[in-house]
Amino acid sequence: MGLKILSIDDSKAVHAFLKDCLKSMNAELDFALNGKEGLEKVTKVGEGHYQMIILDWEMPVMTGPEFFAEYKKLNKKIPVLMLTSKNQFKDLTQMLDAGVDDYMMKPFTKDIIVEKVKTILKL
Amino acid sequence: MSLNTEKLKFFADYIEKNIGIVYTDTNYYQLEHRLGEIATQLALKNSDELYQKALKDGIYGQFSDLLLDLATNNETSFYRDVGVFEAFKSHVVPAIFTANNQVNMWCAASSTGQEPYSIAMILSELAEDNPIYNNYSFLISDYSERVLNATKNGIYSQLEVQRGLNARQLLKYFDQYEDNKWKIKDSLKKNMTFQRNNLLESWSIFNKLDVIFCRNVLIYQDVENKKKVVAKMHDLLKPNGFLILGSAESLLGVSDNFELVQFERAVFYKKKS
Repeated sequence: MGLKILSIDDSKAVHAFLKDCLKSMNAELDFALNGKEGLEKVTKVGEGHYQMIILDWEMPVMTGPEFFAEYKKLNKKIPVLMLTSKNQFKDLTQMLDAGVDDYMMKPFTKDIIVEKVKTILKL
Repeated sequence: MSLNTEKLKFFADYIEKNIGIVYTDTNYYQLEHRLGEIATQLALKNSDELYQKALKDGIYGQFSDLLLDLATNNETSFYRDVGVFEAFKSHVVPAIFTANNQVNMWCAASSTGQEPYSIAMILSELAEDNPIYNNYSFLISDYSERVLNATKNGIYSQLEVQRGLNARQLLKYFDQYEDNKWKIKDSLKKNMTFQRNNLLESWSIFNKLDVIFCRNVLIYQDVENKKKVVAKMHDLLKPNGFLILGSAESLLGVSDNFELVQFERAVFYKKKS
């Protein structure tokens, strides 16, 4: 059985790029266009459905940090990789303190995202 | 305009004679690309003009420095081949730090510094619980002055810090720098000395060493040069000292004076006592 990853990002281009990058890992990508959609998807599924969430920071309707605050209340153990163009010290600290597993800055390359996924999922 | 094989061989021979790096038919395309870069930096139209200049004036000064610098392959990342660093941390570090009051290490081809700084990060983390892991000297060398300076400066781009580091490591060991860059904290450099060094020439290294990192460098040398370099490294190592090569490298056919030590995801070489 392959990996199932939920990508929460308001950019379809990012989804397409992630899908292409993670093809080699036999990963199936599901996507949501903002935090609220992402929360709906995560709430609906059972434990073990998604192995990972890749979460954008800036999104309309519900941002990444807002999603993460609600997601934590669900007590699900899906690791979260935060994806953002922010690289400020205080923002990184804030998200790590909130409990995201790792953080990836845009722009990123295929080898970086593949390595991050492998490391987080201990593959 | 691309150079013919004879002209590429002319430059390949010069590189091999001076720093032992071997270019053959299979990687002449890399050499050609690098010659194009040099031509641009010397305000020449193309690599053929570069060849004409070499014939007319010889290769020396800035031309020689550029040629030999770009000929070295500087591809690296933090914790490249993470199994090597896991094995170093779990098995080598406890052994050498308990056996010695002061540990001496050498990174023989630092490239842009990600490897030695990865090692320094491991030791810094261990030293939080036990200060003996601060007791080391770390010689950092490379042939290329350009990359050695880059290592000394310790400034990395966003892409570079994302290769091999997680966010916690980034925040702990780096400060933000201008233009979206990150600078390694000075505390990680405190045990380091920097030296430009050609592995094929004599070395100003006088302490006996506990560990030598020489990863993905010797693959570019021919067998005779490999033997010479490894023999010198063997002499520099303390008994039971470690030589750590690249994952695809081996001492088979190069030296019988090391014992192969297999760890979970890495193979190191230990000087036979």
